[in-house]
This record gives sequence, C-alpha cells and structure tokens, in this order.
Amino acid sequence: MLITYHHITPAPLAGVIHSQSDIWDTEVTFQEGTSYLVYAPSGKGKSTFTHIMYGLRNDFVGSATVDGQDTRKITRQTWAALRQEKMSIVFQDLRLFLHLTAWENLQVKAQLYSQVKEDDLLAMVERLGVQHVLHKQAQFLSYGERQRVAIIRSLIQPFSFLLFDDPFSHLDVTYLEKAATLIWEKVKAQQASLLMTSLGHEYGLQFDQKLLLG
Amino acid sequence: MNSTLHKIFRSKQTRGQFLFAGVGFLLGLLMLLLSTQLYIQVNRLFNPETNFPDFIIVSKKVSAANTFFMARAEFTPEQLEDLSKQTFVKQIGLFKANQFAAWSYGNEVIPIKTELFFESVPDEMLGEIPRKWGWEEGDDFVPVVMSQDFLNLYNFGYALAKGLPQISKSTVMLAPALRVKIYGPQGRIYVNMKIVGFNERIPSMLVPESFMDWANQNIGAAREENPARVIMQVTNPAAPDLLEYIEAEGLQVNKDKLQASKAGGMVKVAMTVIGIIGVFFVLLSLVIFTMNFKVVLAEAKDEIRLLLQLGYTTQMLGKYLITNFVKFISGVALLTSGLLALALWQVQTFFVESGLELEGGIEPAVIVVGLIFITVCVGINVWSMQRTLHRYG
Repeated sequence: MLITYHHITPAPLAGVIHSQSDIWDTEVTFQEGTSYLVYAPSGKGKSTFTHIMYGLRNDFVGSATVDGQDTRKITRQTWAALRQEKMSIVFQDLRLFLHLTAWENLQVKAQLYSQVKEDDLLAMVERLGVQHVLHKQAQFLSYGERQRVAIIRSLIQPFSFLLFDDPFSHLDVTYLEKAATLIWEKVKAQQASLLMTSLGHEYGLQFDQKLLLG
Repeated sequence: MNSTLHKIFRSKQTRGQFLFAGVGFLLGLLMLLLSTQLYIQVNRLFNPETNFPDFIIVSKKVSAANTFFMARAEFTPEQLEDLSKQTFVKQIGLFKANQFAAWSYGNEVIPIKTELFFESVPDEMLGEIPRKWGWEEGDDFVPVVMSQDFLNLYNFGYALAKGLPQISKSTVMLAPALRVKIYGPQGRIYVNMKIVGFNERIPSMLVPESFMDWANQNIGAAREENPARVIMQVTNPAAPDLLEYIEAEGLQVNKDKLQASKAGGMVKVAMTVIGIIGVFFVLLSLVIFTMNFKVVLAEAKDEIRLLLQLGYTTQMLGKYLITNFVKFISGVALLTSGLLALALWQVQTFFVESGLELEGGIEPAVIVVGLIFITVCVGINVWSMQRTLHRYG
C-alpha cells in the first residue's frame, strides 16, 4: 500500500506554511513497511495530517492518493473497507465510547472480525495493565488508562498503516516500554508501517524516516 | 454484535424519546383505525337501502267521521284502479289485515303477553326477503317480519318503564318461537311464531300472504275486504305530480323515510368530521414520531460518526437501526391492534345497547388503512435515517 500527498496545503494553514516543511505543499510518499515519525510543534497540523490520510477531512488544496486513488473520490464503502483491513488509528483525543466499559469498547471493534480471539484480546489487556478497569465505564478511567485501551483497540484489526496521532503524551513511563514493545510486535508481524506524529519525541520507537511537518 | 450496539444507542434519553414517540404513534393509529371502522359501519347502518327502489305506503286519512260511524278508511276497487294507472306508480301491493284475533303468551326473551295484529303484503314489496320466509299448511312455525320501530318502542318505552331487559335484533331472531293463540268465528288454533327479520319501511307485523289467506279463510271471518293501506313502488318519491295526487285524493303518506335519510346525512357529516380529525391526528403523530426519531439519531450523532471511523459501514448501521425500528413499530402496532379490539368491543357493545345494530369484527378496509399508515411511517423514517447516516458518513 502506497499513500502519496501531492502538494497538499490544508485550508487552516494556507499562507503560513514554511518552505522547509517535508510534507505540506510538496510531493511525499508513504510506503508500506517503512515507519515514519512526523514531528512539529503545536498548531502545525499534526492531527490534520493524520485525518487527511484517514479520509476524515477534505478541506485542503492539492490531493492525496491511496494506491493511486484520489482520497476525495473514494466511496464510503471503500473507506469502510480500508479502515477495517488496511488502516488503523489512535486519535489524539482517543475517541472511546465513554458510557461503555473498556471491554465493550474493545468489543465494538473486535466484533467486526470473526477471527479475533478473546484470549488474544485479554493477553493485550494484561500486558498494558488495564485488566483491573476492564469493566469500568471509560468515563471513569484515567487518561493514561483510556490511552492504553485506545491503543489495544487499534491493534485488534489487521493493518498496513498504523496511524498514531500523538497518543503518548500522558502515558505512564512504566507502560510506555510495554506499549512500545506490543506495538512493534504487531507492526513487524504484519510488515506494516507505523506512522506517528509527535512534538519530536520518539518514545523509544524506531523510525526509518523522520519528517518535519512545519 | 448487536449487544454492544444496543448499549451505544440505548441510553436512558433515547428510551424516553422512543416511549414518547411510541405513545404518539399508538394514539394516532388507534384514532385513525377506530374512526375508519366506525365511519364505514355507521355509513352502512344508515344507508342500508340506497340501492333499493323507493316504496311509499299510502292510506286514507282517518277523520272523526270514521270513528263515529265505524266506517273503515279503505280503498275502493275503483280508487285502486285509478291509483295503479298513475304515471309515477311502478306497481302497487295491497295490505291484507287479519280477520281473526291473536294473543301472544310471551316467552323468556319477549316477555309480553299481548293482543296482536298482523298484516301481509305481496313478497315482492318486502324489499329484502328474509331467510325462512314463506308458509305452507303443516309448517312448524309462522315467520314474522317486524317493524324496526316496534322494537325501538319496546326497548326505549315499554322495557325501560317495566324494568325489563332491552333486547337486540339478533337476540329477537335467535329467541324461541312465541306461542300464539289465534281465534275467530270458525274456531281457535295455536301456532308458533318466529321473528325472522326486521323491516324499516313497513310499520307493521307482517306474516306471509299464504298464512294470512289461510287463517282468514279457516279461522277468521272469511269475507272480502277492501285494503286500508297500499304500498306502492314509485319512480321518484319527490315527484310533484305524486304529491298533488296525494293532496287531491286526501291520502296519507309515511314521511319518515325522508326524515330518516336526513338523519343519515347528518350522521355522515359527523363521521366525516371525525374522519378528518382522525387524519389530522395521524399526520400529527407521524410528524411527532419522525421528529422524535430524528432527535434520537441526532443525539447519537457522535456515536454514529465514531462507529463509521472505526470501520463500520453505513449499511451495517442502517440495517441494525432499521431492524430495531421495525421491531419497535411492530410492537407498537401489535399493542394498537389489541387496544383497537378492546375499544371496538366497548363501542360496539355501547351501540348495540343503544339499539343500533353494529356488526362485530374489523372491517378489511381498516386493516388496509393501518398497513398503509405503518408502511408510510416506516418508509419516511427509513428514508430520513439513510439520509442522516450519509450525512454523518
């Protein structure tokens, strides 16, 4: 799978883009199997970058293609298939169902895949240390616990690209290493790409390419 | 997969919304179906003879002279011939009166012991000939067709005054035969009489002409008599020459037929108003329901968006929502049917107790109207749901 940005300028950033940006208003390609860190200070469009790739926003100049296909022309049906099989995401704001329990949040995702085993799910839960809050509603979880639930949810499905929109900012150091190991295992096993945005931290993950956003 | 979706969509708020919408839908549907059913039934009740030819009963005016001189107000053969020659007359039938006395002993259903009188007309003047009509010597019972007015007199006059139970048409027709003594100059016999039907046109107790002839000949006075009343079929009961003739000859006409059709017209207007109100109610409930459903979807907007972001398709969500919506509507419709049956039973009992003979059961048109309404409701909401899902997607 190949994702290309052709001279994209997001509408909110029009006129404020630095010439040294590795991504905005230039030609950049993301290759399956290569891992990328996209870094920038606050307000330079890190979330916008991820959302364009995930098909959530179209307010930009230029074009983005997924395997040569213009993202704006991809049907809802195809986006759903891409999100089920090719791209997984952890949003910066995590986006859990707050009135569902942690376990139910995982189930919402898991029930899309008949091959997912409950044991594998529980193993991940245990590795990231959220088993004690599994049956608590997400709204009563700490931010760090919610983050770990969101990470597990993103690892349930098969993917070619794993998009992390700066999700580690509040993660407890104890679990950072465990999370990094788990993520890395999953990415390697599927020969997929990890594509993470951050302020500049690498959080102990190894990236093949580091791109400055702006 | 549905259990988690249930939890996402079924918050306390949406449950309240749906309860509210469901009650609105239920009341609207109930109102619509009830007014449709009553409209059809009452319409039928008041227009039973719209396609029947017009019959008029004429008699001589009874004056004080008749009373003083014991002179019968009757038609002479010349007068009858003159009448049948008139252009507005299609055919005439003569009433024959009993020349014998009759006494009913009553029974448990019709508990009145009374002197009786009978008349007969040719069968073709009956309009509707009841089953079991006709009589031959040796038959078990003599069929009688009674005037609807007599039953009303009994129910609302006699029975109320005497504290006796009111009786409906169907009860009367199912009642055991009445034992009646018939006696005259030539002797006495006992016969069983059964009321086999009601006539709204002829204010009399009618027996088959064959029985009347036989009884007059064998029990009664056996004399030739001129008829006192004549029933005639006319081309147009409102024809001016008919009215002129009646005036000129000093005849008397039963005008209640005209009045009955006026009353029927008024009931029709009332039912039309109820029907219109019913339609209004239904539209209102449809709007309330659709709005409520939209609110529910709007409240679930974030959830729907997130599900789509997690890889759910609009089809999956649409199928889930529609299935549950249809289940909900079906439940409400089922509840409405139950309430409708209950309401109809009450209304029909009330009508029958008031002497109006409504049939039991649900009109097929009511079922059709109900199905159309439900289909329209489901259609509108599915359409609006699809649009919403696509907007969120």
